[in-house]
Amino acid sequence: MPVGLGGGGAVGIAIETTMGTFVDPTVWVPIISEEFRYVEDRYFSPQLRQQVMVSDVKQGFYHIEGTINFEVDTHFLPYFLYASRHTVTKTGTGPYVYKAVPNKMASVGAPAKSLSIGIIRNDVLWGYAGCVVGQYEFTIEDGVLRCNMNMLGLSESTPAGPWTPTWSDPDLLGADAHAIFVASDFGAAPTFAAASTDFNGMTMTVNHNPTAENRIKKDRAASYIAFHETEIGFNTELDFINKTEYNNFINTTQRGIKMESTQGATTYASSTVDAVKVQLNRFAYETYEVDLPGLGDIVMAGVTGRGLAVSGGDAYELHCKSVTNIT
Amino acid sequence: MSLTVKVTNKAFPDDHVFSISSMGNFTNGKAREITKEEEQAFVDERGIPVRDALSGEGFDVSGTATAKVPESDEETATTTEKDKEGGES
Repeated sequence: MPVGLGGGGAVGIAIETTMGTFVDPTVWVPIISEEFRYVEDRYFSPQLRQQVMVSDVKQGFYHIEGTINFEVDTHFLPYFLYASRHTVTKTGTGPYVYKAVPNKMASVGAPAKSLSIGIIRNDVLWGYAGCVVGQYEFTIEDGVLRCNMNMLGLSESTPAGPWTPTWSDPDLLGADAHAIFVASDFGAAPTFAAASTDFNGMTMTVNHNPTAENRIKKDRAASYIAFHETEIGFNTELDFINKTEYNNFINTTQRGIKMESTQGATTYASSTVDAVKVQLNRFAYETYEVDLPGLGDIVMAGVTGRGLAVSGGDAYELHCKSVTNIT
Repeated sequence: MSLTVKVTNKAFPDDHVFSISSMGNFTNGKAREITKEEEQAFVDERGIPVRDALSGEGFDVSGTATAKVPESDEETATTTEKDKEGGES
């Protein structure tokens, strides 16, 4: 077989009926890049037998670690919202409104769903079963909303195929799609007014800190994926205009913040489809750094924010309006 | 009669358009007769017949295939090796 290029590859996904039982892809997701790895705790025997190097090797427990970086497309985002420690509600009759909020489950179970991920690399098929998203990183890069996801999976297989990808036209959220709002308060439903115009870039992160757990059974694959503490936050740069936000940092002022990405001039609320909203219902600044930069550079503040739990509400909400009907 | 291909994915609306490399566009749930050129281009790219490539869930293929399936490089190499051995003996 001749050498291949990344552009000749493809990533497909399917929702699993039984977590860890591989299902051939049914939806093909245009991605920017992927990295999926077979990660094994390989055993090298340190027996003492008058030689000073390990003397045997045995296969150990393994799991799958991966990342997918993709331009957020509402055709596909809902699949990845389901595949994590989320409670997802779906409303509408098409287009559909998906809303994912965190729950306190220790591993994936209903209503969450696990994914099988099929990858074609140089026409060779790879199958990863029992995959879930451990971390989402929504970021505006070159004006386009992207999402970088860290994933864990239970096992790897070599699917029989053949697979024939079917592609949808790209439906990206570009530089004129985004708006960031900072609320005047926090809670289950923060009060948002006009969009802020001070933000230079934005990255919002939800990290469930997952681990693959191997238990003793006659199978080296992982038994389940455990979720640990959920860490929520964002980092950005702000034009430094006055000390208002610095004082908010010092005083641990708590508010809500949201990033909306929609097609055209509409808000998320008035959009019917192709819209995404990432909302933290309660945050405080964690760091706020402002310095004098170079001679001709703008005085900016480097800022990180940390999301907090909301009593009687959700710490964060991931929303997506999509034509895709996930059942 | 050429091959007719139907792509069906219930997760997407009826008017959703899918493209398949070398074979063109297909509206979700609607059958389309592909041209001999499209069939041959697909077979040349994939190296297997359309019916085999689209044997999975979500595809329906009917009609008569006309494209010639190219020999794979591996088969060609094997054949050449055997021919060579045969010629020498």
